Amino acid sequence: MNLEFDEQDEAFRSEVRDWLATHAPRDWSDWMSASREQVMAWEQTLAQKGWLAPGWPTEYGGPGWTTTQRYIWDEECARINAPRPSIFGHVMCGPVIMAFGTDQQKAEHLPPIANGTRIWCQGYSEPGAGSDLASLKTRADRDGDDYVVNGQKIWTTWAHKADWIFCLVRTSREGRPQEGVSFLLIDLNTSGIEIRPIHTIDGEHHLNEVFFRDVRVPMANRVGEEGQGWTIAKFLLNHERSSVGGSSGSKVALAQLKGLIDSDPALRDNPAWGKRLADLEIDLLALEYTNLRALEKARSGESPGSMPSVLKLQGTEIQQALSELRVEMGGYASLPWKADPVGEPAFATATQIYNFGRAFTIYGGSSEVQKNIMAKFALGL
Amino acid sequence: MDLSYSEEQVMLQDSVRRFLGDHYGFETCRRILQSGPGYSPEIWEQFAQMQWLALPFEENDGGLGYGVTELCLLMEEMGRALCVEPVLANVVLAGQLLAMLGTAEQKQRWLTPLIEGRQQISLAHAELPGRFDLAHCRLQAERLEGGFCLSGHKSVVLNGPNADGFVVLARSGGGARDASGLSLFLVPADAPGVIRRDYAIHGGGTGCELTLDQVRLGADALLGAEGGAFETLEAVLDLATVASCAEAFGAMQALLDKTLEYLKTRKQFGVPLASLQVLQHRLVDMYVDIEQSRSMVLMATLRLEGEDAAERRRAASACKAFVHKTSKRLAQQAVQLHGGIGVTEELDIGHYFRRLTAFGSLFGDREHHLERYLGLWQGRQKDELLRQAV
Repeated sequence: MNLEFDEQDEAFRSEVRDWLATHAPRDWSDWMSASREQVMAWEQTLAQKGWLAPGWPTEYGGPGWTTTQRYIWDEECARINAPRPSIFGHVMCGPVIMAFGTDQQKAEHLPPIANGTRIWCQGYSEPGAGSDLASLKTRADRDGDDYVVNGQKIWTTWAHKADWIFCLVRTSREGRPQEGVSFLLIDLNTSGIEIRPIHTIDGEHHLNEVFFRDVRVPMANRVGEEGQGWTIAKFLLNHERSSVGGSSGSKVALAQLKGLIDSDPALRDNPAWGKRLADLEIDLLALEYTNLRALEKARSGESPGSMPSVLKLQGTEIQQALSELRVEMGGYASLPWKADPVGEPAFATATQIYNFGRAFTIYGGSSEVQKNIMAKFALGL
Repeated sequence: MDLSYSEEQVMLQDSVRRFLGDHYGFETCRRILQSGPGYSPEIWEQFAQMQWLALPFEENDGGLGYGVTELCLLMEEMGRALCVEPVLANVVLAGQLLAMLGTAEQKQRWLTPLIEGRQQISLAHAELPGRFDLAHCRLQAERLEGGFCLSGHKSVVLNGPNADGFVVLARSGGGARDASGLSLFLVPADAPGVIRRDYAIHGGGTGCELTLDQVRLGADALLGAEGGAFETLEAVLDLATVASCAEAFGAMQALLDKTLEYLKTRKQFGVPLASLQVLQHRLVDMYVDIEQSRSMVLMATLRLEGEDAAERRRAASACKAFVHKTSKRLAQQAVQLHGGIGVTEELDIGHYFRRLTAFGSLFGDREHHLERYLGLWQGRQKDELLRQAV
């Protein structure tokens, strides 16, 4: 057991650092509020280097990195605040297709994800199915070689900028609710799909409602067996949680806040600010090592157990605490609504980020749902 | 980077857990606590025979040459079993100082018998007005013809009542809070002028107030360089901090296991308490604290295996600041979830609670380590000040 980086690791670090210095975009860093064009350009640059999907094996166009290399990659991206690619394709849909997809689905969908030429979004939640996802009602009825899909998805991040959506749909109303769910890949250009924006309390448009009216989806677009959707969803949620709790974004935020305290005498002279930040930095350190432990387990083929839930729960709390601290540190500078920066630019979006950030502990399985999951699977209750 | 334990490390942890499981039940622990010395001489002898006291010493010194990882695994299992044997005082505090600073003669007289379990040594460094500031020291060392004379007072000397000798931190130069001018001395417990006032420590173990009234020592009593003790002392206290975090982490795991078991069997309103969601979520909070503390202890253990002093300081303080928070929260939950029985002497829960409360104040509490961590970030560390002074 050791934390040393060997010569090869250090060589890898310089390679990554040099490459990022010349290729990473400097005019934006958050994919959520970036434009489709910005994100695609960056993803394609990453893809040409083979680095778009750090967790993918080489056979599907991933870099086949070790845990240590993934850690170094995260560190180096965080160091210069390089944008992370959107997660729906390479973190979520890709691994599902690798694990459950047919050869034809792999051939059709994995290359565009690895190349950064197709953007995905996720169709899970419905107006009546939030934390209780299994009660979803969007139905897919067989008709010849197609399913006919009817229903509504909600809270769909990036649907308005995406090409495809992966959906949980109901293919049966028999048995337990979980048993009647299937996993479908749907081209958003299919007729009968309507996308309406949801504006969130940061005043932005990230989220949508997606309506399906008699949308015909080839049965060949079902991943796994009919009724296997719930198993796939659980597999996927574990992938998602590992990444949404991911500490690299918080590391960037933390480094910025540190810089602000160091450079502003009004903040520096009151040790309360430094202490709050030091406390959060230490929480983040714990998260980082839990993340490394989870990555290590995944690599050695062990189940990560409840660690993804720990990461999601703690990671989102740290994100929220950092955004809260930024608003408070900003003082007056945090007040103007989406204005040109007043004073320090780092505070210009502080309140927006804090406001939208209330969603961190709600999406991807709310904190309370994570606790239910841990009670069941970690404690056997 | 490699985060998995070796087979040998897993075997060591298993054998400690098995031994303590067989020999160190809660009843044994209570009996030991009520005995005179506050530890078990028989068990201590067995610790020595199994060479657990030799774990972190170099082979040249008669040790097994293991690292911080093995030491922390031992401490974790001791914490889980509520074991009160004075490993921290002997093997970590006094033992490491002797190993790092002792001459061949000093090691032979003081360290070898310690590793073999024939002699106990305690570190006397704390003085109350300084809280946890290691540099705060008024106990004076004066140079005399052919040696030194020590006068002053030390507080809360861990395992002091059982010590055959003391490693005493004394000021041989500089002002009361300077990091420079600190020296360490080896003082036999029966030297003329050594006065002890003994007491028990909350949560197990013993301590004493130590007064040195013009204690005369030979030149060979000086441990390490005169005036240059601070850096080594700080390194050893960092190690002790992380080792005690490992111990606390073991106790935390035991508390969750026991609380979970209790809530599964205890029925109220006709149902097991564990079936109530509000209580399930509290148990989950405990579980999360344990997983995160495991990561933190792992991080600090590995950082202390390395040579980098700045990383060592950061890691030790981060670990303590974090584990103090999580252990306190977890221990409070464990008592609360047990209800009235949790605050009684009869049940082990209250004893774990006391142990973790005491852990908080050992080698610096959360507040102290947050402050130190912040100081390291803002470049206010003591060795910086030392360098500026030179």
